[in-house]
Amino acid sequence: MAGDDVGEAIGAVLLVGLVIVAVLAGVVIVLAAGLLIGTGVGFANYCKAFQANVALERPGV
Amino acid sequence: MSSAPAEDPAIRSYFFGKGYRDLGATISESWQRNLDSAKEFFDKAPGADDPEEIFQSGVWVAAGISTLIFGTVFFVVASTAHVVLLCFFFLLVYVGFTALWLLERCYLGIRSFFMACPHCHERSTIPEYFCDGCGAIHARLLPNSYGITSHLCQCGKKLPATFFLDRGRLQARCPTCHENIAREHVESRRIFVPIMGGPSSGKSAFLFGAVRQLVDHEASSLGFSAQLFDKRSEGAYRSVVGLLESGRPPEKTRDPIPRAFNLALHKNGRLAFLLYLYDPAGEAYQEADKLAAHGFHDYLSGMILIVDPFAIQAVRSRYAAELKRERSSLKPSELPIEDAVDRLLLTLEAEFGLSKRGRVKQPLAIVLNKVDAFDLDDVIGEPAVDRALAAWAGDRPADRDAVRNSVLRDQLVDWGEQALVSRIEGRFSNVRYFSCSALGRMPDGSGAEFTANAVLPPLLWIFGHADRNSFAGGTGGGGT
Repeated sequence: MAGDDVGEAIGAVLLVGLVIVAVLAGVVIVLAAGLLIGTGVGFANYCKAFQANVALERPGV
Repeated sequence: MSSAPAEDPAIRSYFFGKGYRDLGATISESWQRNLDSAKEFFDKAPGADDPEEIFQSGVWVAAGISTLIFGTVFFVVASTAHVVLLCFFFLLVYVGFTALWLLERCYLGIRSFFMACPHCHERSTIPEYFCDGCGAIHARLLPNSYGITSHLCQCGKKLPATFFLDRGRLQARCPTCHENIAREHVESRRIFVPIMGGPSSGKSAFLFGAVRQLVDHEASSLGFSAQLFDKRSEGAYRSVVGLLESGRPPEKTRDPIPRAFNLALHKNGRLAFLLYLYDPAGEAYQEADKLAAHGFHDYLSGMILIVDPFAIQAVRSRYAAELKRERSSLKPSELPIEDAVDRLLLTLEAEFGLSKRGRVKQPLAIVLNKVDAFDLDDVIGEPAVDRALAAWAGDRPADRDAVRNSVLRDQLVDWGEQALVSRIEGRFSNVRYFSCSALGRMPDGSGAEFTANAVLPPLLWIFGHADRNSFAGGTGGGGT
């Protein structure tokens, strides 16, 4: 029956869409995690370098 | 304290020096740390051999890649922000000190404040200042890259870097001769008057006679109290006045490059004027290179040229017999006035920016001295002025100063000095003639006190050009 075919097709599209969304979600999560880790590490490294090197010149300091 | 400063002992503003070294080091270290962090993540990945550890390896590798990518992005953003912040403060400080420096320059310019060294006569914007903590010499204690309003000495002492914050309280010295100088040599109204003339023309007697009258009488009538400014001026004054009181003329000036004789004029308890009077040895006018060292020509307020009438040939001839008798006491000057004027003009042209056809704008008082000799008083003294006034036929009442000026000028012409008069009036835009007796009488060995006569009007005429209101009531009148 034509109605069953249409339902099947919609189901397949939805499934594919769901898979794509899941993959994209995974990618976004990985990227977000990467962004967090990368910027966090970058931030920590810049802060450490800043603390180690930046100091106002004052006698006795 | 006397050694020349190799470099400024102040600590440069962070935003003009160390800030950029710190920036470079921070960027370099931060980049290296990012690389080390990424390497650390990659090293933690156990490898792909064991399928169970593939996920774990993937996580560490992803962390390493994330650090490389996002860590670098953050590094670029943070470094840019650091550079921008540093440049912003650099500009802020730059604009700040430039604005304050300009304001100070304008204020000091309007008030005619600059450093005039009384010892070497060097002119400078500001002197060098000593740190009142460690004595280090700060050559440029101005709003600049070492600080906007103050400089921080390496000893930790904060020093005011502007006139507005009482920089003058610090001990100063001349950048050229390194002599210590008082605050008033920078921050006060000053009048600079050299007393010029050939040897034995009576410059020293004129100077100390005038100062004596100013200190004893005239200053108070002008509303001032006169005070010898420093020990050196006081010592010189006491010594010469002692000689004059005992009937001896001042000793010959030896120094062709004189130190300034400083007299302070106070009004209402505050310093109103600091006078700089210069008395070089007459020999300086015999050699142009000695005159070149008279740096005060760069900023003088006016000049007094003492003329010994007996340096004029016509006068020598007229009084030949008397001169033969009185030569030792009269000591006629041997330097022709034309030569002194010519050397002065040559020096002004060569060293002080006077153009070949330019005119000196500062007032020049030509003072015919020794009117006490023989009957000169009758020729160029007040009796001659009285006669001219009596013969005055003008519509308006005669001005005594103008009449005196005319009588003396005409007398110089009569004595054959037309060329000198023309040369002086051609090169000096404001000339007035005076006569005086710097000793008050002919030296006769009697031991009677010398009291100068008519020595103040030329000085007060020049002072009147510096400040008409303050000196208008003096015996010298207000000038032309």
